[in-house]
Amino acid sequence: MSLLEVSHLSKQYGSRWAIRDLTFSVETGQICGILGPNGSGKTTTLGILLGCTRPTSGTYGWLDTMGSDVVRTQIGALLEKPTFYPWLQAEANLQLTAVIRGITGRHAIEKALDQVGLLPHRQTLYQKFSLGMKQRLGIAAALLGEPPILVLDEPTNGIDAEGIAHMRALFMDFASRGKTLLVSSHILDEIEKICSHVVILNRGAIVAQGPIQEVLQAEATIEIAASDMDTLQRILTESTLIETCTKAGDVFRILPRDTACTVEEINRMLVSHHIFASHLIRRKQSLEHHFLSLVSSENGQVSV
Amino acid sequence: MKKILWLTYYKVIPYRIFWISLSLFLAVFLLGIGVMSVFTGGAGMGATLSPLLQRPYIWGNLCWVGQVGHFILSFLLVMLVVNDYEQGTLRKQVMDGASRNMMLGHYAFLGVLLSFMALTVVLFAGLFFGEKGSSPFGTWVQLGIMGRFFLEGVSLHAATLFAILLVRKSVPAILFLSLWQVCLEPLLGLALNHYVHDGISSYLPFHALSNLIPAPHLTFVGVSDSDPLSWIEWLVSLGYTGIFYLGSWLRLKYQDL
Repeated sequence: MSLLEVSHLSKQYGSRWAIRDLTFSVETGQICGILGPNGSGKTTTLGILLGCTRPTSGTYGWLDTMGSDVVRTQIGALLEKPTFYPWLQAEANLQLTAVIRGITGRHAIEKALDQVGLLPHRQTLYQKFSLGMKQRLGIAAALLGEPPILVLDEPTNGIDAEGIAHMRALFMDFASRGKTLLVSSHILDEIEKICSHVVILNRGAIVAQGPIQEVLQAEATIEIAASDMDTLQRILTESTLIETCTKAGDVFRILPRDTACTVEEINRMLVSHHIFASHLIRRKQSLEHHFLSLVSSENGQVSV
Repeated sequence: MKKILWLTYYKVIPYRIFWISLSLFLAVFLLGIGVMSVFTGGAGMGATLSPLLQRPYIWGNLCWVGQVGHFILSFLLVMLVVNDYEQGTLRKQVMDGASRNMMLGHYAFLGVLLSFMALTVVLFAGLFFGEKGSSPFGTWVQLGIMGRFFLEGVSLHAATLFAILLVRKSVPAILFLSLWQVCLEPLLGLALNHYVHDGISSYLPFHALSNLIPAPHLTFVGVSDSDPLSWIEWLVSLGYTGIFYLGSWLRLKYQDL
């Protein structure tokens, strides 16, 4: 059973569809990244999953329930930006979250503040915090009571490089204990470093999803060169294994029809045609490259 | 209920504007008593108190003066709830697991709490001045008007909450309430009186609320101790309170945060 099941979820604002027909699932222990350009529907999706926004159609369920309030006490969340009372100290703001989640004792609050490096500032008024400190407090509130699920929208906004590395370690540690993290970010490098799965959105629709290695594999190209390039080209274009074949300098760059197709299979096919490759290598795209090519092709722009 | 109490405690107690509003209410209320006392033959709050500050009429008169407190405290309610929208804390609390019904319960509790505070102030003022200025034989018969005063506060705060949830901004909510009370309702009342039935305007929300507390007795000669106060206003105000809470519940239930 999936931890989160999203089925045909749509949200319409006036005549504009913010998201349309989203279907995906998240299993326990996954770190699932939600990617998309500005306005692609990431925050709307997370807002619906957290009970803040009502979907126009479709369903979702955490732990096989339909958006129950009790389930939300098991989810640590940060949506868009941290939201706290400016006239309260950091500690008192977390106390409010603790009251709602039914967490008792000061230990949990101190631990959460310590995890994000804010324990020395626990009695500082929220209005006196810098942007990065506010973001850290938002993450502390999400971590409060060690919930089994974290939902974070752009969690590293406003945090310096050192802080980002610290947060990354925190999230990896969180996931290593079998917990589930759903995170949206525009920092693709971060997503690639920590996520096991991705859902890529563009204009409110899913354009790719699955385990991150598989998603990247889908666009992984193989470079081939041989002494007889003309024969090689003929064989490659006629082969049923290959989707596309383009010349790139001194090599041919091919995209296999089946993403599971290995370099060995290609080599075996070439050998069967008495072609011996002088250069044969799989080039995996970075998430950023893949993301940009997906989004730009969807938007009718030239691929990067 | 325990969560609502803690939520209110953590949110309200350190809020400076909460204490400023209470102080303002107290100051305006005492000023009102002073003015009333001076202009009706008393010597301020000194030894000789105005007859208006003697039992049994003191309760009704203090409630009448205290009505201004309900308006001051309803502005405080506007700020508390609008803060939750503008700072995104309502959304955060829902994300943290608070149900929308719990949040509505919290806001309704705030309204009741503010009405109770106003009631306490008026009650203590009544006990103090009443004891100081009344003969030992002055009756307590009109103490029941305090219930009406409390209901007026709860109803006004329910209306305020409904207006805030409708427009989600402080200035438009206050403008809407003020315009409704000062312009729209009187005009609607005139039209209803003319086209439907004379006197029907007294059943409109703010008219019914203002009817709960009769105007001060400018003279107590010939006024019975047991001034008959109609129960109709009670029922009408209770009905409007229910309608405002129902509207607030529906609005919050189907609102994107």
